[in-house]
Amino acid sequence: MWCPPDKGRWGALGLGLLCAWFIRLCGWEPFLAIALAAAVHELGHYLALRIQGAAVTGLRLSPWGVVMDCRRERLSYGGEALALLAGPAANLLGCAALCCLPSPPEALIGAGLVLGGFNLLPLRKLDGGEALCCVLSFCLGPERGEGIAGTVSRLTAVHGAGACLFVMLRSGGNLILLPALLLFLGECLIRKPDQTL
Amino acid sequence: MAGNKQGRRVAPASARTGNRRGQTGRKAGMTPGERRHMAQLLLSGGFFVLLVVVKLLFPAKMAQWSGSISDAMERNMDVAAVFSSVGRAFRGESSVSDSLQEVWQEVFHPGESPAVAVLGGAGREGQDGGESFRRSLVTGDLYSWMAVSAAAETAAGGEDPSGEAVPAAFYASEDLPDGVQMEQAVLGFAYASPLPGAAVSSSFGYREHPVQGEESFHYGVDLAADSGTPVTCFADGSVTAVGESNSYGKYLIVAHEGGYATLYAHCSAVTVSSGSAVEKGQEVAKVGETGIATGPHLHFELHDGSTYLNPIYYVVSAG
Repeated sequence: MWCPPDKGRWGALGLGLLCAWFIRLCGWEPFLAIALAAAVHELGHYLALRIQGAAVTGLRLSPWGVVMDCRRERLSYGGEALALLAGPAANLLGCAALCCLPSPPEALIGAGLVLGGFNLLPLRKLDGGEALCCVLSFCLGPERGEGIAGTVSRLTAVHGAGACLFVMLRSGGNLILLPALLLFLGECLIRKPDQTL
Repeated sequence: MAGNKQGRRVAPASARTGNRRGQTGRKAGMTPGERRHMAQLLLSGGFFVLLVVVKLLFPAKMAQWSGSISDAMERNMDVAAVFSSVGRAFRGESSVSDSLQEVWQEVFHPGESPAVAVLGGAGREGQDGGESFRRSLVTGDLYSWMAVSAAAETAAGGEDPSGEAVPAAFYASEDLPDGVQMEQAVLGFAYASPLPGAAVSSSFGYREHPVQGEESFHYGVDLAADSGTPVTCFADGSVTAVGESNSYGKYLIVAHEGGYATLYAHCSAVTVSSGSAVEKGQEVAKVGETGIATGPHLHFELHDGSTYLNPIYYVVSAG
């Protein structure tokens, strides 16, 4: 999960509410599965950054998860994209490793895949969106790259918000998707198009 | 992951201590932060007052909204089942299409029997108003008694009786949830009870849920048996789904000819795989108490397309 460094003021409170909401609606077991998957995800980011020699300056809580602060001066666009994609890759590798167990925990495998897959959405708050921005910036230059990544992000957010609303209205419930809807709406309505890394 | 922001700005001491307002006594001295906090306070207070006023003026409407919100909060996908479906697809234990069907079932038909959605039911979402119907338990018991007696007189296996269907006298049709048929259907194929000789521990119809405590419709019959007792297939057919969910535990669905299907839930193990052909009387699972169950039993459902049939006519043995 990526988050602008100056947005973490209410992070702990927001994350606490998100966890409480999830536990209330889904129970402890799925929550623990997601928490473990999130730990593996962040470990992937951490290892990728350390391998590239980038200093990790701390962990912060954001309303959508844990945020890893780092110094990016030593990272190229490619290196940053790799560090961003290392989280979902760690989830994938973790799931593959769990499959080797005699009786694999299917729910844990699914949680890792869902978390990794969600983070690959091309949304600027998520790893996928930031990695796309790095790749586009490398190919087209920072200005055009960020512009296109921002547009893709907003389009993704509009479709994501629509999908969440559709599911909630169609099923008459599934309020578990409410935080995701807020994330998408926030990206649609609040984020400035020219916001930079 | 985020970049580190260098050189954080620190507010001046006067702004942090807020002594300007105290010294001057002017409202104009509020900092932007204080104004924002004041606006937040007023907004929150206003919302609270509005809720209290609405509750006092429109108590019935408020109770209705509260009920709707509670219903919506209870009608959630089984996240653990969704994760398990994804995990099974990743391991190659089930096909991607099967997993997508399971996920679709969990998302759009939460808490429902998987069989109806998987087999292309027209969808029962919203029906019954989230179990809004209230019925006396006594009536349900009377019906169960009548249905068991009637079933005992018809057949417990073998060929389908070609006689007239037994009417359900104690449930008026408007009292039933959509997609439920109490009358006996003529199946048109040979069948056998999945647990011959087992006692019915819970009948088809309204009942007080043994775990949740609320009155709700029970869409199948529960047949009590010891854990590990072999569950045999109701009739010839093919296994269309093998899965696991929080509520149903380990289950399988078998499609039969004529658009009928049977569901076997709370199993300790499923002994056949998805897609395999099965015959009447063949072992397909073992009795267990997986999912939401208070003891070992088989939850057995019979479906005609998207319609739930009362299985009692086909599973109870005479005498």
